[in-house]
Amino acid sequence: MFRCGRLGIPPHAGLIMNEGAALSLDTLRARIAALEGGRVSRRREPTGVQWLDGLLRGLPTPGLVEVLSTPGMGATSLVAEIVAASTRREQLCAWVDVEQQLYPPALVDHGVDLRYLLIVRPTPGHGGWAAEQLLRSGNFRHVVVSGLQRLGRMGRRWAQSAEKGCCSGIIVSRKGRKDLPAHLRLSVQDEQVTVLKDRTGLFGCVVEQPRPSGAAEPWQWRHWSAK
Amino acid sequence: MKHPAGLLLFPSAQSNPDGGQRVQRESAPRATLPGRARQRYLVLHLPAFALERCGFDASDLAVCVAESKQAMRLVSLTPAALKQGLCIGMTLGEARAQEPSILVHPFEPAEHLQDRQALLEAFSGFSDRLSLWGAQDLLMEISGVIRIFGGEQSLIEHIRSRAGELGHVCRVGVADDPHTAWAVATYAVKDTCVAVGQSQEALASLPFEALQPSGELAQSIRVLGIRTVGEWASLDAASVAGRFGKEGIQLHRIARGSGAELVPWNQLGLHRFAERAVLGEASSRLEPIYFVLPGLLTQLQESLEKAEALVVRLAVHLILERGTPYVLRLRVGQPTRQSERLRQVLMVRLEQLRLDAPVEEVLLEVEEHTKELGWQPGLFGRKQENEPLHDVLARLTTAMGEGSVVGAVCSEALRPEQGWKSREFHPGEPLPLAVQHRRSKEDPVHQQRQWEIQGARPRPLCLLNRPERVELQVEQGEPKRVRLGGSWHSVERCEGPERLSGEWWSADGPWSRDYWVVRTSLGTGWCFCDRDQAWWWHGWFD
Repeated sequence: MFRCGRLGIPPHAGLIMNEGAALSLDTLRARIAALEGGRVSRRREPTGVQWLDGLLRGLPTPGLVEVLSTPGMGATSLVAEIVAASTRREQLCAWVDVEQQLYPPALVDHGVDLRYLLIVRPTPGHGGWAAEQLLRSGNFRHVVVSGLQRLGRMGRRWAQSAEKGCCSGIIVSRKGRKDLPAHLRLSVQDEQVTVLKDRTGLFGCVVEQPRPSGAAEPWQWRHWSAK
Repeated sequence: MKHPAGLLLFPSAQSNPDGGQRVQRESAPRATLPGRARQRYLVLHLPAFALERCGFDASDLAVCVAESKQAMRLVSLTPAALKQGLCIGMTLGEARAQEPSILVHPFEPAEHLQDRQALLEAFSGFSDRLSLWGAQDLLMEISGVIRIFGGEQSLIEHIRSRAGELGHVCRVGVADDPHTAWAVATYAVKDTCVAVGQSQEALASLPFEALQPSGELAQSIRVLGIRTVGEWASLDAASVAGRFGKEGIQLHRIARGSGAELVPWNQLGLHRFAERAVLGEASSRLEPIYFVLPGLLTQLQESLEKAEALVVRLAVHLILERGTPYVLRLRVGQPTRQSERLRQVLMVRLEQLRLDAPVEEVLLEVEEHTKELGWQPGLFGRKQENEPLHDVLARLTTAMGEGSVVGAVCSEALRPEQGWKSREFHPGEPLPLAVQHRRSKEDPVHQQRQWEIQGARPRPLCLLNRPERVELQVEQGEPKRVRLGGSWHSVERCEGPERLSGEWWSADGPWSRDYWVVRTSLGTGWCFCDRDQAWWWHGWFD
């Protein structure tokens, strides 16, 4: 799985290849720390989305990110962009689609490589559990959960699972959840992203969410009819 | 001892751990049987067993079918169907083309297994050393009971009578070894009792297939022009060993009438792994099942270790006091035989179980297994943090069912809701390409297609499972107000229509939709107007 030193990769290489995906040395250190059972150091892992990394310097990893928005305001689009950047780098992502409304053709328009995206459409009552299993497994760069209505104590378990699996969980919510120990909370309204919670002093920052290059702009599409 | 097929067997009188009475009872008739040099075996061949259990007669033109290799194929058929030229493995279409009047019954593995267990129990009064053999045969070691029944012919009559009571047509073969007994029961036209030491003569005229060779060996022998067991037996043993290896040697010995000692009793039976436990008292609670499960899994692990096999698919049959047995099936992500791992996965499934009736018996059956291959751990080897992906996927699938954990691939369907299909998730595996039709540039279909794909069409990230009916007011052909969530919202902006239609060829008739992108104070959505001028909300550009 891993190769280094005389087994393959020259010692000066800054990255170690893991089945085609690049892992930074920081990630490896975090994994080793997790193995040794020590305190997990949280850091910002660049998402690959330039405007977002410019604002946040990446997402907290391991950690939970909450994206607040009402339907039709652009939260899913923001998450799709993050997932697209990861899948382009051949990193696995999982999307727990509790409401079963995610439309993969639109994800493709946003640049998501479906080969690296696992879609979980859980049966009623299994959404939280499925997300926990995925976060804990350590196989995924991002685990997205959308449409989960009731959280209960699951939030804290997700945080622990994300630490164990060393990945970031992105929860798309319609309203703020006090029971979710999110390390970063964003609000998306009218394609504007506002930082609601952040421990690095970015609280209140607002940035315009640009349209992904591949996605069709609903207001600039060509008319099909003879109108 | 426990047989791999789940039967309680006594390997031999000498090694019987019970000792005492049973040893004495078994050894006594053997000692007094005059001239007894070998053990005697009886095979009860039930050519239409599966169908007779489904209510058909052997004279009916009936077949059992199951899905295999992407087609419905015959898995069992009556002698009458066999006479019509039908054979196992044939597709149902071929069979119907050959014999349109055949009666078809779906094959239910769980019920078949239950039937076979019932068959074992029905004949357990004749011998305590019996086993299922092949798909529809029963094997008994009868050396110790021949005298009790007054000879072999009398025993055969008793067994035939019992099979008749159960409604089965049968043929019986008795010989010195199980292979010969099976061959004469299957290939002879009537009940055959091969005299002691006469196996070679009895087999000589039978076709070579009566030795149950592997496909490869059968092909090789066919090429050599050898048709009967007698011709095979006449070959030089050394030449057979050199050319056909271990299997050749074994079949050659059987053909020469000396194969009995090559097949120890405890390896006979089905090539399947199963363990069963009868609960002391029928219970509707899960605790007794949890109690017996580790033991059964440990026994299963031991059986699998001996065969160097790993579980791929496991079934738990819960035999209820009344009603049909409950079957839990689970697929293991990474093939394993570790009882603890299997137990954990089973516990997850059993927790969700609601029993309708008390459970009397628990039967574990390995429905699919694979040969053990080496596993090379990663750098983190013993303390590897990541759980193997296939294990995670298997656990999720087990808990939530097939279709809940999928990858996606876009399709070319016309209806937006059919724009993608689920597929098994294999990271990085190339997606199937859309069918590329080779058309000339002058072809109007090609031109239309090129025009259509010039610009990206807006598609919402959230598509409702079913479009929801909405009230929408139109002015000058454009949506102006829409009622969502019980209140009216002004349309701030709209674009459209994108006219989608098709399936004029389908039985349900054609469909036509004019899609609009509509922005309200609630967000940007996707709605359409159908042929009946009804408006439907179909998704959100979230």
